[in-house]
This record gives sequence, C-alpha cells and structure tokens, in this order.
Amino acid sequence: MKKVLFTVFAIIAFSSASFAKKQTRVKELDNSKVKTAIVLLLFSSCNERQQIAIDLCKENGCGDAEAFFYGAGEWGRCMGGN
Amino acid sequence: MKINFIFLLIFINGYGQIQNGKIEYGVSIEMIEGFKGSILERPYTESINNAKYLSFTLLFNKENAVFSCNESLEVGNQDLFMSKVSAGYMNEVYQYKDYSLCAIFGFGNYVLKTDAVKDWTLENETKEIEGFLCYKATSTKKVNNSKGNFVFPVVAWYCPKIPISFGPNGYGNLPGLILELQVRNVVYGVRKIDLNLSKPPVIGKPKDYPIINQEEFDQKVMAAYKNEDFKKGFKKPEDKF
Repeated sequence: MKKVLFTVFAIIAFSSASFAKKQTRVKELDNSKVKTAIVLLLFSSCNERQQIAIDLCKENGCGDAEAFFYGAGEWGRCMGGN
Repeated sequence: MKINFIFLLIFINGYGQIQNGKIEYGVSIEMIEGFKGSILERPYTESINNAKYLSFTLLFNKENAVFSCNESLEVGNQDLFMSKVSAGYMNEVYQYKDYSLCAIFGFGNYVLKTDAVKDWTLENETKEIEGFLCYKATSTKKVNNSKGNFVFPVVAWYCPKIPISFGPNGYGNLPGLILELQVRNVVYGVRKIDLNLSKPPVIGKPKDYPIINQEEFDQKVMAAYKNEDFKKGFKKPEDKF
C-alpha cells in the first residue's frame, strides 16, 4: 500500500514540476515575442523619424552627407527614447 | 612726403615677405529657418551651441596650407561631431593653389578633391579685422541633392596685406588671406594671427587613399543610404573623426 501511495505521489509531483516548467517556458517565449515586437515597432518608428530628418534636411539644402548624419542622429535619439 | 613714401615701402615690403603663418579661426552657426519647429530644431540648436567650443588652425607657407580642427578639452568629441558636420568640416583640408584635398569621413577610405573657387566677385566694400584692412569677395555654393538644387551665398573677407591665397575649409584663390568666411549660415572668423613663425610649419599631406571628386563622393554617400546597416539603423563609422 505504501509503495502504491509513494508511486502515486511521485507521479503527481513529477507531472506538476514538468507542467510548471512548461508554463515558465511558454511565458518566456511569450515575453521574448513581446520584446521582439516592441523592438521591431521601435525600429520601424525610429526608421520613420530617421527618414523624416533626412528629407527635412535635404529640403532645406543640406548636402547628402550632412543629411545622412542628421538622419542617423535622429535614429539614435529615437532608439534611446529621447 | 619722402619719409612717408619710405615708410610705405617698408610697410608693403614687410607684409610682402610673409613666408608662413598660423591662423586660428572660430566658427558660429545660425539656425536654418526651415528647421524651426521641426524634429531638427533641437539637434541643430545643440550644434549651434557647441560650435563655440570649436577652433580651427590654418597652417600655411607660400605653396600650400592645411586647415584642421583643434581638439577641445571642454566638450567631448561626440558632442562636437554634429557641430563640425553643420559647419561643413569633414576632416583636415590640404590646400594647394588650384585645389584642395580632404580625406572623407564615414563613407570609406577616399580623398575628396575640390577645385578652388574661380568665380569670385571682388567688391569695393572693406572692413577691418584684427587690425587688417579686408576686402569683400562673393561667390556661391551649389548643393544638389534628391530634393532639388540649391544655391547659397559665400562671402569672404580677404586681406591683401597678407598675400597668401588660402583660407578656412579649403576656400581661397583670392589676392589675400581670408580672415572671415561666410558660407550660407556658417561664419568662420579669425581669432589669432601669427605670421612668419620662427619654426616653419609642417604642412604634411593627406592619407594615401584613392582620390575622388564631388560627384563620386555623392555616389559613395548614396550607396551608404542603401546599405542594410543604415536601413536597420545607424552604424557608427569606425573612422576617427
């Protein structure tokens, strides 16, 4: 009887641990997906700002190199959250 | 009258024998109207404010000159980067009679060759700068980009008493040293003049990279725009600025 009870408890404990581990992994996966989505969103929004800066600079007579660096600077500020 | 004439001869002769020199320039930048109220207002304002920490040195002899930016101890190099870009300064400019050479920055290892300005209009207007009588000369700077063709005024104040055809950032080809130069909203102004140095300056020469012209340089920049690294975001160039 004791052996049976021990086996039942062991199986329950093992299953619970395994389930919990799976849940954590799913959460981790979800987290990394959310992070990737945020970064992609940030990237696309910052790339947009970069392009706006480049266009604005060129429309005001900047040379290509100057516009390049102002665009790059805007991207950096945007990614840095400024 | 005779004595005056002798003094005049001595004066002209004295300046006529200028062999070399070291000129220090500062720079000031004004806001571009179209940037006001836009996303570029803040970064450009930073460039304007940091420009006061920039100083440049022109070393020259009778044959050539080099114009370079001095290291600043007050502000980090990174903070001055965009001020230099806004001032139109890319790297050391080696100036000769008919052209100048400048190693480009951030778009590969090349040396940009720029012909000397040949279409100066010499005006009668004068002003005194650091005790030297300067004459006004005007020209234009043309910028062509994907948004259009632009023409900006260039005003140089040159000093015939210093008969050296050089000046800031590759500008020259005038009958005297340029002590003040305005290119659109950027003004280079002289801070200190040392003539006939006891030790002749070492002018040096640009890096031994392939020489390209402005059109080829523009192509290199456009190639950088198409670069995947740039599309994904700014990749800091590895070159030292």
